[in-house]
Amino acid sequence: MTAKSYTKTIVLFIAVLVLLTSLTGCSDSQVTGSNYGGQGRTGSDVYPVTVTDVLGREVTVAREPERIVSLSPAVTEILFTLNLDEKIVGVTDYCDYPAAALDKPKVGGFANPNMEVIINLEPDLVFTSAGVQEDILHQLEKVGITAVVLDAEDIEGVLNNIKLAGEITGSGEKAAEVVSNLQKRIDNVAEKISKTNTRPSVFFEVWDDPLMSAGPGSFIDDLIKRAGGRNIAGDARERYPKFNLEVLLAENPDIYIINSHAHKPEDIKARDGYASLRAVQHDRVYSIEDDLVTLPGPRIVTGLEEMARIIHPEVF
Amino acid sequence: MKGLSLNIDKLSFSYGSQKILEDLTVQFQAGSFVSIIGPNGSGKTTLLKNISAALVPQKGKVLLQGQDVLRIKPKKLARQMAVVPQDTAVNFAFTVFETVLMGRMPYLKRFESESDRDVAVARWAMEVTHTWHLKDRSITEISGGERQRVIVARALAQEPQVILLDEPVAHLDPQHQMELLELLQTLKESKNLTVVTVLHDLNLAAQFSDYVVLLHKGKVFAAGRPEEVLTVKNIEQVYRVEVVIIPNELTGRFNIIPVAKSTPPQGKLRNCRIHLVCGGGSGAFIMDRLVRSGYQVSCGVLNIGDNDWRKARELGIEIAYEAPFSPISEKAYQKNERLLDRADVVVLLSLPFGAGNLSNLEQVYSALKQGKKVLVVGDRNLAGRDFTGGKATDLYDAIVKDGAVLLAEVKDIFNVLETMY
Amino acid sequence: MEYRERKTRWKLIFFGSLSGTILVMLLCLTIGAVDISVGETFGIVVSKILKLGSYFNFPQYPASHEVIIWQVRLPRIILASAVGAALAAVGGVFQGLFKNPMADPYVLGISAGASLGAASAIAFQLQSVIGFFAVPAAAFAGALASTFTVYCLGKVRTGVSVYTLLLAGVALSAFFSAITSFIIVLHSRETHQIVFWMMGGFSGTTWLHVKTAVPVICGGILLLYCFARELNAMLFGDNTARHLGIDLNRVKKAILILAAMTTAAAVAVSGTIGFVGLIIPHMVRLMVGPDHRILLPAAAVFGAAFMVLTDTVARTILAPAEIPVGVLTAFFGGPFFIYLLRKKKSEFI
Repeated sequence: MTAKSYTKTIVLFIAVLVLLTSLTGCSDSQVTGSNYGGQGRTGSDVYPVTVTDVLGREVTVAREPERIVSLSPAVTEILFTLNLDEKIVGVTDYCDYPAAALDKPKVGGFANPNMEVIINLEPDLVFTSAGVQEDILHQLEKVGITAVVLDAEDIEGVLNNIKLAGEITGSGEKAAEVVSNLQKRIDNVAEKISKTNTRPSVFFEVWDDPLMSAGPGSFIDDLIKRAGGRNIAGDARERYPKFNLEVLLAENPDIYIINSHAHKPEDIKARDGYASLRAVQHDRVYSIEDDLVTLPGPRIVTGLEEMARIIHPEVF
Repeated sequence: MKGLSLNIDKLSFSYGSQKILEDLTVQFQAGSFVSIIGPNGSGKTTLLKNISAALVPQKGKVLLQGQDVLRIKPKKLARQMAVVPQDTAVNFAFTVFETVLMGRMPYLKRFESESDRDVAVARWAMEVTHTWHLKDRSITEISGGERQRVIVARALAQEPQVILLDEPVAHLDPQHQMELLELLQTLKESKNLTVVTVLHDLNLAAQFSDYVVLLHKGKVFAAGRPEEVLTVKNIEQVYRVEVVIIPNELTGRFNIIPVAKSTPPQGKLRNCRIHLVCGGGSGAFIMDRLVRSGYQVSCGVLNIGDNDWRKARELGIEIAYEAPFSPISEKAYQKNERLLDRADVVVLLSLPFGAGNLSNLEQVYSALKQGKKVLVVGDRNLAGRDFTGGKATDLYDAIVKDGAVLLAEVKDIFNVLETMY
Repeated sequence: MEYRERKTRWKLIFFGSLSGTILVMLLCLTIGAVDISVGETFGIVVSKILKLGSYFNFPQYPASHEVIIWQVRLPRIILASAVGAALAAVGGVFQGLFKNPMADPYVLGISAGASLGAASAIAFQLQSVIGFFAVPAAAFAGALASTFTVYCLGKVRTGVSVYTLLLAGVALSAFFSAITSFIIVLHSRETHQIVFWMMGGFSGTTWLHVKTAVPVICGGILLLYCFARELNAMLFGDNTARHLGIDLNRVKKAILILAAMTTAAAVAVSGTIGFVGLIIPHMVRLMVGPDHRILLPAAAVFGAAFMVLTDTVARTILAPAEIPVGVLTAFFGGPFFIYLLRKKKSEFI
């Protein structure tokens, strides 16, 4: 009967489709472990290197990476600091520091970089960040590209990332040097702050509408503390809490810091109701570049220094 | 094909707390034509839905040839019983043929395609319901009456032994009403189909049914042969309307003619009797005005069912009347004569004349001769309404010539009457 | 007779559009952010399928190109086609089942449930506990849970009321969305990840996604197709369907379960992609009529083609950046649908 054969054909087609699917599924193990580029070069003696990245994954790098893709602006910064710019073959659209990063081939956005482009760059090592890039990480693992997750939530984490990146890329010495310099600058700030005895209250405006600040777990909160200030959003429940204007007026911070990309200090002073703030009356509204205080890269230390200079100008 | 009997046993159904059917027991024989009648809200549709297993009764059961319909598998039930619902509106543009072919679903296994026989049955169903010419039209585009017949065709395509219909003729014109009910009657006879239909039209119920169930407030008020159920008394009690029941020689059954209740005339009575010779609605307006103005009005001879007859009944006027479509009999003639005798004024309105009612004119003429005041209203020319080969025209001319007052319009009657009384 | 001709026409429509869709899929396989020639693309596919690369002398393709074609584009295209087919077929089924032109695969709260599931999994870091598939699995569970809840709410004494189902779906969607928003507010660290998941898309597709979701989707569509004739009858109303011998409550339940499984599988691997499930069935109905026996297969095939095409545009037009595919389905689908509506001018298609 006609309808029967019609149905049979559909069933057949779908069966073929399903079969095809499972067949191809079986074959992906063959591609894993393939190794692009870098063949024939001699690595340094330390390879293979096995590291544990920030997600707790054990990653083994067989030989010195020659083609590195960075999917994180902070990691890009670290790699440039480690003088690895020759080996960087791809970065995201958001990697804008140092300026040389802008000339590197782009692989797409931060949340959804383009897989095809990454693969086509034939990288032997890809650095990703945690969270939203975990899907990408999974896909990279599936196609057999070595990937390492570097991400940090505090300054120690950043220093650790630098060390880790150095270890994997064979620039351990350079990394140690960078970390030691950064540590000195951090210690310098800590020492000067220890001499102060005031703890001015600070409000950091992350966003104006809705009004948002930075709470515990954020770099900004950590930097304010290290810089000898008291973050009035320091007891919030979230990392980036929405902040009630009434509470802001009641807390009446001594210092008001804004993101230099969003506003100028004059804008803040001109806002309705802000004139009564102590920070405005004492002309203590400052701006700071957000990358310095949010990206888990080496510049976070610069951020710390700027923050300390803003909060305790008397000791700098 | 054997027919199937239906046995409704102590059926009770309610929507929430509202009782619709109460302890209803009735039997339908296989191969009979059953009409369910009753006023709006008496539970006709609910009963039908209970029979078709679309609703589940709280108490009692419906037995189809001894089997509880709720226990019969839906597919098997659909092969035995087809339903034509009241509302047949569809929003999706299936063709008429596809729609009717769906009636074959109960016979098809999953994935089985319709066979030539299925197609042939669908075609037969469409031909007998005169819908074959619509086959390629979309069900959404055809008229309500056409759609009704298409849905009947789909039900017939199910080749059922019982067919349930909910007011199947409501959207149909008289010709298709007759055709459809006659078709059901034919199928009943040739295939022993049990037909159960809700009907609003008591005359159609009288004409086609073998068995009539009169529902009243969710109960069987009466059930039996049409002449047992459709009595003046039953109808008056259930529908609260007066009817006249007249044998219908054409169908061998009878006709039921509803009559509105009489309302008392208003205004003070005048001591003036007026007799109207009217018909076909020519007298309805003046009748009403005269009664309201307090005149004592009579009229005749009118055929029952005529618009003027209805109006006269409504006003409670004395009438000389005759059976529908019948020539004036001796009895009616005499009654008219008495009314004419009593009248002070006779008004002749513009009505058509045929052999059947020519005696009206003769009586008016003799009344005029006896000295009665006669008013003739309307067009003098009878050319369009003389069906007596000139006899009426001659009489009419004689009446006008021998002293009747000729009036151009109906309202002029009042001017004349005012000057007289 | 005309009736047979119609069946032949159906076959032509189905196999014609099926071949068209396969062509579209092959075409889209050659398009991407990385320029790989048509010859190379098919060379890679053929050598992969036949696994003859080692025996015959196929030209040596760059390993990276092989990976791009075989492990990035192909699974993505297959998954997109399956998801498109699932959404369009289920949309067609639901529009018939609910006799409501606004019905789409998400009316029973499936997307809200899936989003809630995914958001919870992301917020509570389930990936680190049960692995990568935690999010799709949680989304699948959330989708099924919401459908089941809606179904229980929609049950009335005499069976399942489609109107109650629709209303329960709307209410539950709102409720679940509120919870999801609350989770987002509480877990600002994962906000980005949750919102990104909810926007939907195929950018993370691997063969694992294909292997898990496609069999469920194909099975679901195939089984839904088995109910095409019943769905036709149900368009005439519940009572008519019952009188034509359909065991209505069982059929409704079966259709709901199958539709929920199919949609849940699609949503779990792709997030919420709107418009496909609403528009494709209407478009196809305008072309082939309301008969589900052709409507469902044709909608599935057209949905697949539409989804593959829009996803290809999504991943290439701003390459290397990607646009969420849901943005494009609405962008192309919305105006085209309005055009069709204006042209047809009938109250209901």
